[in-house]
Amino acid sequence: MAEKEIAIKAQGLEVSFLIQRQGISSIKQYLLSFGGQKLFEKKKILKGVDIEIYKGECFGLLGKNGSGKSTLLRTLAGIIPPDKGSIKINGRIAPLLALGAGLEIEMSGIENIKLCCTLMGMTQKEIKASMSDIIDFSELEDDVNMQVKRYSSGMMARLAFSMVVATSPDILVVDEALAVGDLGFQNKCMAKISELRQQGTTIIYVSHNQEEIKRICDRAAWLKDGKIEKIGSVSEVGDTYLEQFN
Amino acid sequence: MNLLKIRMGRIKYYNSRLKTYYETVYVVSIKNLKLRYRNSMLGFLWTLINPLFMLAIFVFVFKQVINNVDNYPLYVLSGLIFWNFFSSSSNQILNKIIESGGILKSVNIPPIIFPLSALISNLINFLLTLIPFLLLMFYFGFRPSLVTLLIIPALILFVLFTFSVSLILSCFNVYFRDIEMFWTTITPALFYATPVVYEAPKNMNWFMVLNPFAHFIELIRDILYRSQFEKYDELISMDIPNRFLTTLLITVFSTTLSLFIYSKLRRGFISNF
Repeated sequence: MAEKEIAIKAQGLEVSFLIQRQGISSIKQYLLSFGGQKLFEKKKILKGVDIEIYKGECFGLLGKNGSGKSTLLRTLAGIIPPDKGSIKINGRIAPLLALGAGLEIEMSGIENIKLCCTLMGMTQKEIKASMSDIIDFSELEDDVNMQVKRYSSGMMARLAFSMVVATSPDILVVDEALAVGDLGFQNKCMAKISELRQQGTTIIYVSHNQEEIKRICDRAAWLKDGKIEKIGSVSEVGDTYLEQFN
Repeated sequence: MNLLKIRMGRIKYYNSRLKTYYETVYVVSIKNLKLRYRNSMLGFLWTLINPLFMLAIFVFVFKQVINNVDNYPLYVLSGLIFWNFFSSSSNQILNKIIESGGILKSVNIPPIIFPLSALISNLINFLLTLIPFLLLMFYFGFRPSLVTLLIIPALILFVLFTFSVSLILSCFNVYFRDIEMFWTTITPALFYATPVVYEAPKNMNWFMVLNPFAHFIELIRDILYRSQFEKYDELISMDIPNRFLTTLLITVFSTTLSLFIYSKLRRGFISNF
């Protein structure tokens, strides 16, 4: 273990959100208290997370809804600045946090590929070069000329996943949103993921389905209420994760 | 030596990032322009129709009330097209950071890209409308001269000022959605508080002095309107330089303030989308 190269190392990560107190009454209260009360309150999402992910491994991230999985990933990707703690990243993290977040529904698939790939940091040259690969992989064929608002959710997921893979990231984050695609495409994605892995890409697989994680991951971590409850081999973590439901 | 190497690497890294940011702004601006009039039949013409409609109202209605202004149509038009740029830009930019919440949640890019792209697409749109409007001004008796060229630096200042105001609104709008209602309410009020369709008193009263928009509109007026009638020398040697100085100071102040506010507030954007 000690010789393994580290892809991501985070220590003592603490992240909190500003939560607005909604409603007129709060603004009134705020004014009446002459600024003594706060309009925003801080809510801690991550309470000291230590995590180490090695290069080339498939790392599973388990946890219930609202346990802080997405926040952790966003923090690792540099989107949310942490309050405390340090992050070390070796390589480039692919954005796959919300599939299809950047899609502009009024525009065609091709226009969206140009737009989203630019947003994900590809240069125009790179986009031109990988355009046909993206279209091939998505299997959308002639539909790429159609407006995205006429796409089904599965088609959007295809488009989004194809674009993310095209950015050739060092660290790929796969969210459970993949499940939107049909079985054929899911299998294709899995094949692509294992292909990328052989090329040395680190995979972070996020799910609350421990079966799936057990199938493809080497190690896993269980995130509970903003803390790592357990980290280790996938079977160990998967079993303890299951126990809580029994 | 080693340190220098790291430094150079850093600079290269930032350069390449800057280059992709530049490309991003370009691509998003083009997208805005493409999307703006998709599904609309008259498309780009709307940008012309709106000010023309307002112009017609002011020329036909206000002319009855305001009769101390020479060549009133030219007076109104020269102010109106620039005011329109300001109000449409600010009202669009206002939403840009919130609208892009989905992207900003999944990709690590500076949020300022989206307001900036909206400004650029609006500016391109505006420059395109300037051609027919200049023809219309010519029809109303406007004759270009060397002084007209001063509109270029004036426009640069005005655009920067527009952007800084919009950026501040856009940042606060993430935290309090009230800003949008507030601005929709306040824009018409600002319009009447600024001498766009009437002439400001010769010794501008305190309100006009405090209203930053008035200074910009007056500067544009000097260049596009007053240069047509008044004594050249006084305008060139006194009024225009003075106004340039005032607007420059306002722009420097507002731009600094907006960037400061942006850098302070951007940390909390993500938790408020």
